Amino acid sequence: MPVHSQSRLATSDELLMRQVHPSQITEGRPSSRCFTPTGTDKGHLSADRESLLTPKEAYERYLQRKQLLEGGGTWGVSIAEFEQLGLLSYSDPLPDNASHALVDFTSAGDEKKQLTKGKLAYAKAIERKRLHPPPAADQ
Amino acid sequence: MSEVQPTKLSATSGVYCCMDTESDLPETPPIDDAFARLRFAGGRFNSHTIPLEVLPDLAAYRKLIVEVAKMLFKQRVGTRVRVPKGFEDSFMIGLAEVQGGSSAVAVMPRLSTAARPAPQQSLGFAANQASFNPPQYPEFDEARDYIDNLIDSVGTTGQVPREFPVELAGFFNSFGQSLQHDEFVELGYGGAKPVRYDTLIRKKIVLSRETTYENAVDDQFVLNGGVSTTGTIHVLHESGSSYDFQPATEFEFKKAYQRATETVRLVGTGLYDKNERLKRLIAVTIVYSEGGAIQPFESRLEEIAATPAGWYDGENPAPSPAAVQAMRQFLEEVSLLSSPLPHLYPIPSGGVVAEWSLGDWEASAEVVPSGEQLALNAVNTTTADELDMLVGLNSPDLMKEFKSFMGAISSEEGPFDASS
Repeated sequence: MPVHSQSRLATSDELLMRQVHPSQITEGRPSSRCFTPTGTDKGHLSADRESLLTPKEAYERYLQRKQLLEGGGTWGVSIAEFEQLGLLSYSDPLPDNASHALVDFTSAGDEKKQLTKGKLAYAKAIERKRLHPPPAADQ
Repeated sequence: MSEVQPTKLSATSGVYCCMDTESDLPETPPIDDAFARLRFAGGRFNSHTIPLEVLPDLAAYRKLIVEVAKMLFKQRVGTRVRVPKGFEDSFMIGLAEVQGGSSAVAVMPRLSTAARPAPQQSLGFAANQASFNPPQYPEFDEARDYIDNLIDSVGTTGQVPREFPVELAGFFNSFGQSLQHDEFVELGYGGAKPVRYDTLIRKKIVLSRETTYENAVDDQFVLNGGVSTTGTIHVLHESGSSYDFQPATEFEFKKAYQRATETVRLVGTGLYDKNERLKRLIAVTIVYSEGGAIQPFESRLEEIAATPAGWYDGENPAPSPAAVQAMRQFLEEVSLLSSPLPHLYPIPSGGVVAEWSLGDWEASAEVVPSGEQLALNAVNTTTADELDMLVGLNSPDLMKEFKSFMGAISSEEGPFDASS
């Protein structure tokens, strides 16, 4: 997953959307790990660009791809908010997903530092609340 | 032919619920011939269902009828005579149907005693089986009518008839105990004269012959230590009264004992006097008001243990049994502290993580797949301050380190008492 400077996303309020696996949400609370790259991600967090896909579309594509009936929902952090944490975002279209983007956590340092940044991003997403399904759907 | 096979709700209740199955058992009487129809109305019953918590009331109704029937039998035959052997067992009622509408109606037919699952018998006695069927005592129908008339009389006059026997009053404690203040039961629903039974009538009947009655407890108390030899916990009520009760398990006792001075909610059954004063706690469960996760960690860990390999990206391992077990042991210790219970998640590496949101802090405790180490991490989402600790899960200092960690991140917010 190489990131190139020419594909860097300009600072904006555009949301980068993450899908939460049903195992990573309980009692409506997603895990803070959902905004931290895993070991196999090699420091790059995958996301969908809100300008190219709605939260609902992103959610439905995720369910289809993972063959799930229900997910933990679409949550989002803006490109500007990631930048405030020192994390740059890059467009990374895939053959089956033109909206795919990557947030580069490698600049944060080791895994522990990446976890710290991930928790800070998580707080932003939680403050914004779930994008889809809308929070009222839980009630 | 589709028939109804009774399934006993409990070993002693004598109340059966029904499932459609093919069997050799006799048919349940037609619903039109139901022994009793109880209409539950108000409050929770507006959803046209009977909550499971109410089912013990149906067993209590059956027990009440049996006791009244015994009294009627003795009145007829002689008070010094015992009821015949098998008298009580000859009376079985089942919950055949719950009808919706503006409320919920429990239709309870009387079951043939031959429908009761019988102990295995040798084939040689099969031909004579009918002769073992006990007679159908009329006292049970009379008992139902007696109870209807009693409740009707109390509801109409506000008085319990003088001839009502003292020994029966206590049996009304259990019947209707789950009813809330805005709910009632209508006995004899669909008949010529349905009668309404609610908490006030129940209380009046019980207190007419007793000095106390049983009712629901749902209130705040302060844990105040206990006696380990008897498993008794002391609690204080804001009224200044003190009470004792025995938690259901040793673990619950230990947890309540260690968390003395903490305010908790007790939910269950208590004994009240005529002035609604709580005299004694009979059976209560403790609800800790600590925020955090609501689901017990044991059941959440079972869910996590059942998460299959590949759940995250198709190639990641399942949560390791060692990590799940280590997290369980760790949380058994954590739950004895006055700290909120964490939310739990599997992580793609095969480990398990516990997470707390405490004020501005996002804290986590990650058990690595080997189950040997605990990585504690906390980040202040306002100041970006962070705290990291790595502790061996078998270390004798594990809980000391954990308390130190939680104490450090909660010194300003105060959600956690590290001195506990």
